[in-house]
Amino acid sequence: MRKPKNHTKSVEARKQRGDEVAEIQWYFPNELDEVSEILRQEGIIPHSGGTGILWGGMTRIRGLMDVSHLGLKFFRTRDGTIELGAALSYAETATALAESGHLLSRSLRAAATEPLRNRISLGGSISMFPYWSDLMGPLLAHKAEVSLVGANSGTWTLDEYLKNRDLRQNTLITSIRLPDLPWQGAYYRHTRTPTDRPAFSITVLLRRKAKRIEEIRSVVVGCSGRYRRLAGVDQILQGSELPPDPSQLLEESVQKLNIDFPARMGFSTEYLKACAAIELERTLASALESSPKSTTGSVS
Amino acid sequence: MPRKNEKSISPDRTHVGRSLPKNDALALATAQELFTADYPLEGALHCALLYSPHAHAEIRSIDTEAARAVEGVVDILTYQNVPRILHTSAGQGYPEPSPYDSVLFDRRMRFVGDRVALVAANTLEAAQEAIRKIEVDYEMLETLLERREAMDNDAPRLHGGEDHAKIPVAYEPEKNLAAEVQIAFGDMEQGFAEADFIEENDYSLPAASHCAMEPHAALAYIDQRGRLVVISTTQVPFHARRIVSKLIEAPMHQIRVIKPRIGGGFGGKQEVLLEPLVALVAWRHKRPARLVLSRREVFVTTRTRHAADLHMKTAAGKDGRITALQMDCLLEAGAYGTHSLTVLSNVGSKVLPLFNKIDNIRFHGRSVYTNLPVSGAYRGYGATQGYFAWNQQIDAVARWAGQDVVEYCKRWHIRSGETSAVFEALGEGKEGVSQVVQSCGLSECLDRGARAIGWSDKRDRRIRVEPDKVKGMGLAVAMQGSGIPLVDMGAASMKMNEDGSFTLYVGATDIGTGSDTILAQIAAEVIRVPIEKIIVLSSDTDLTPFDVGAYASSTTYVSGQAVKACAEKIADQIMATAAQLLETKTQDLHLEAEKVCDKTGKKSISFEEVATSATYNRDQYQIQAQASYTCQQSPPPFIAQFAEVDVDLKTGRVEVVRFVSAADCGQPINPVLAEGQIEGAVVNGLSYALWEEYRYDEHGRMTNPRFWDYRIFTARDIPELQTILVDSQEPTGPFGAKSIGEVAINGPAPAIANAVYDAVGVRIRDLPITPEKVWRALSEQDRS
Amino acid sequence: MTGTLSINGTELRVSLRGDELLLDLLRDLGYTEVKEGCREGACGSCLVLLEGTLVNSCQVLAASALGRQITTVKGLGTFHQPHLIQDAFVEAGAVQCGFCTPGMVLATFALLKNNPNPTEEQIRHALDGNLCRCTGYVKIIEAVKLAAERMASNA
Repeated sequence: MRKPKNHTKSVEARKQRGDEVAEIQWYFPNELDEVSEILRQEGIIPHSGGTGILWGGMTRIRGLMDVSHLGLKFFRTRDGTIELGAALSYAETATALAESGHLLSRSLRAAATEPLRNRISLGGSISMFPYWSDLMGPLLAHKAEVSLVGANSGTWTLDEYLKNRDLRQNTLITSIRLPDLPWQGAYYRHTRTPTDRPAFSITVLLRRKAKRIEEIRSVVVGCSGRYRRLAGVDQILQGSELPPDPSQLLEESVQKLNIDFPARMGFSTEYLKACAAIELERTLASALESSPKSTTGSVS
Repeated sequence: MPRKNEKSISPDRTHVGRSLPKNDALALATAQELFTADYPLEGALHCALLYSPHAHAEIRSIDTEAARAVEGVVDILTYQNVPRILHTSAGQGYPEPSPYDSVLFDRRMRFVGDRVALVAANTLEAAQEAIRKIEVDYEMLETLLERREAMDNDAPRLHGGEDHAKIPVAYEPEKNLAAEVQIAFGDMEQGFAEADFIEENDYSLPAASHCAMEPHAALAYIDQRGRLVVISTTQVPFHARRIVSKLIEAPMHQIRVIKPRIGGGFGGKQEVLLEPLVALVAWRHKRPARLVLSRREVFVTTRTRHAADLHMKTAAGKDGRITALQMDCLLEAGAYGTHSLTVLSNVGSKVLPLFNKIDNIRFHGRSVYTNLPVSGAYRGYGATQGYFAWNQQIDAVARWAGQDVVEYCKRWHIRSGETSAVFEALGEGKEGVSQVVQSCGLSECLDRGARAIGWSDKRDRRIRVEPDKVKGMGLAVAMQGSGIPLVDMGAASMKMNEDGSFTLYVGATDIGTGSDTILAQIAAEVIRVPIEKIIVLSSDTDLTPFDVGAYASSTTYVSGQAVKACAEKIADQIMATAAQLLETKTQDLHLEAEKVCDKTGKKSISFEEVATSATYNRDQYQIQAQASYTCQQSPPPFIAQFAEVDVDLKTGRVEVVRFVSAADCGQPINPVLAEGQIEGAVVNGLSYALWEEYRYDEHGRMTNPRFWDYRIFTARDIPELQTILVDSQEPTGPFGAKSIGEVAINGPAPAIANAVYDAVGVRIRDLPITPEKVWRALSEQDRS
Repeated sequence: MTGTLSINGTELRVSLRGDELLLDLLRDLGYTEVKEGCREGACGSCLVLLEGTLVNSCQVLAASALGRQITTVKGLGTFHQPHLIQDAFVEAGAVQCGFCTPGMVLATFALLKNNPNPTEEQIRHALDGNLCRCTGYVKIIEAVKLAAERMASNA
């Protein structure tokens, strides 16, 4: 097909062919002040990368509010807090955090594929929260917070945001905050092939003082109920002194693991459950061996 | 600069054996070349298809009123307005060895994805909207989703009535039997009785998709003289022309089929599926027609590899000699029987001759209909299925006999100068063709491959890579063929242009394989001219001579011989003209770098002068020639493939760390292209071994028709791959060449299975070899 | 709706539907070098650079690309003036059917722009959104290495 030299030709030609005017309305706000007004309307949702929207299908969507002019691609660290603009892509986030070897950098770099990492946004991913998220485990382990604008404005913990359906209606996530923790950590994603989505993921974040585990936070994402903080496991390990060979202690803590999985991706529930236990032990061991940096991380 | 597998070129070779770049590579890399869906087609009718949502149903009625009312809709094709012409969609030579059991639009729906209707409209959106508005009333029928139940007395029948086999072969549609093949030699009872060891097992492989990156597409238009032109993603343009003519009831001489650049085929495009549809629309409406499938449609409604169950019983003596070998095979044809006889035949014919010293052999295979997506041609073509079972049996027998399997294979494989009774016994719907193998480098392949992968350091060692990871090594050997003997024909014609260049016309079908390039290399080698001076035109039924198409690993061997023979005739004409002009005898002349020289070297004349003289001077004539070639035999390429795996003892995950292929393809015309064929086939085979399968729900719907859930390898998945081409010369092949397109896909799955056994002592006999299967097998092993 | 797109340096005024994919719009405008292979963001046949960033055009809503720069493979090089990456692919034998090649070339370009001397792991990672069924990736990885070498010696 010849490229139209006359630019209006493509407009006219396409109109003549019966391409109808968009039923989906697009909004391109320049100021955060405009957001509430736009999102108040029914069927309008924020658009950043758009991959989640295409995934879900667009039949119930009346309009899309593009966030790219709202200045939400930023990365700030101050006073021990990392603040991430919600429009940052996985790739941008991973790059920003790469030097410090942050756990989030490792998990996001492993996610999906290169062109998708360039497009999946933090805000879009949080609001969609599919079982295969490579973002949520590390965020939950860090007890991250989200800032919202729209029908709900303010800052909530991620747990609160996830529990409360109302917070997710007619609302835009603008940024994510997580403490800049000099902790150790490890991340595991259970896939078929490396570019696959994970059937589940395991995040372990811990703070040690010599041989003592001062604090530990383990999270599984993808289990029944979507995610679980492994309180039972954490309880065994938190405050304990590590023996020279910690494997017995780790085994003991893993026995406290009591989660289920729906069968998916060709894996049975039995197998996923068995793998979760095995890989949790390995991820814990990996976290213990990982080197703490100014921001943490290693991926098992 | 010589490349890795380029042997030191014999001084008299200018093109053969050189890794020249493909003559379309730059045009492809810069996207200058067009694929079918890229062709502009002004005023085209866009086509969309409606598919059956039911695995087995009869259409009671179709109401297209609302659909026709959609603005822009021009026509809707259904069983009501399209003649019922029985045919097979298989792209095979006529008369096809596949049953005539298909019509373009039927009332009977035989799988989820069977064709109900086609809408042709002025825009694609209108066509798709109309599809949604077609109302169909179905009468549900009992479904048959298990191939093992297909021949039960109470199984629902999928075919019958007028369905028939075109050639005299076993075909019993009333029993859901699409094909049956049996051969037997010797005395099986005796063979089993004298054995010291019997290994008897079941094996199973799922259906798989070719996953060529380009989805199927077809265009048709009426040219300025009222002839129908079809451009499509076809591996078989000549078969497509014949079948389209039959199905649209238009004379063949009014039809032209052109193959443009194709984005991969692997057998999935060796089928005449979309061409008759666009042809019918274009022919009826005298407007261009366009049909491009989505990836989902490719998965569900085109073709798959035949799923298979195999049962093998191998009997051996203490010394390891196999005293009897029995192979039973059940292939799943799916809803239609395209390629089901020939793939079935190849399960036996490409596998059983490899160890040709077995006196007692029985092969019994059946292909059966089920209400599932349709199987067809897929790289390997039955050999893949057969070798998965056979190589595991061999591994087990060798182990039992206390022998290293590499040495075992070296001991027992067929050799140059030998034959196998299986060649003659198993044809493809016809009698087989006896042949004596004239080149076999398999022993060298085994030695070099074993050395390259470090076989003896790692086999039988169960090296602990990590506390929970064990290493294992596995071998698989295979052979394939080079064309179908006495069946496959390729032809070439050439003319000389006045400037000393040549135009080479071949029917042979380049589907990304580089056949245009290697055929030019063969011609250039004969004529002694730089390859840039050979203009290749291929796969146009108006312009080029016949070729069966790209399948059966036939192009290098069959089409190559036609090109060589044609080029030799051209060479003769050049020399005859030169002899006149130089006033010498033809016997005293030879060709050398674009000129004709005499023995002394004192007299010479350039190609340009020869051509100009022949065109304009006196006794003018066009230097031109043609040649056809039908292969009399099918010299097998051989391959030895080695897998190194690390198995996670706790989770069963199998990681392929290294994979080595050592192949004998005779003289590689272009080593880089030959390597490329092997590497692509290997990675496809690895992916099939570990992850690929068609999954269905209880209604016969494919549940994973997306890359999201049908996993194939990316650059991140591949192990360290090494490819070795051993020295070999096939005397019957062009410059010693055999073919290489398929054989490398046969080894990965059994090599991995054998490697897993080496590592952890469990055998996975059904594909894919998923972590969960290994985990379960390990758990069972722990318990017992 | 209407708007402008800049494609390979040419500004075009276009009309489009709100739910239209960038892939469909580009092909409709004649940029058939952008291929459709799967429509689910898995195969990479449809890759383009959007403001210099590698994306699947089948996963981008065209409306969100209005007013932005798009580069297709033809924006990197042409048949008569190929990019050295394209030459490297040809030389390494990395082009078989060629359907995945435009996407591979763009992914290579995006990689080498940010990382001129990538390790093999980084190459595989950067090309993990490009499926190829013909080559087994071996010669494609070699082509990327060759291109990196050439770009370094050109610099």
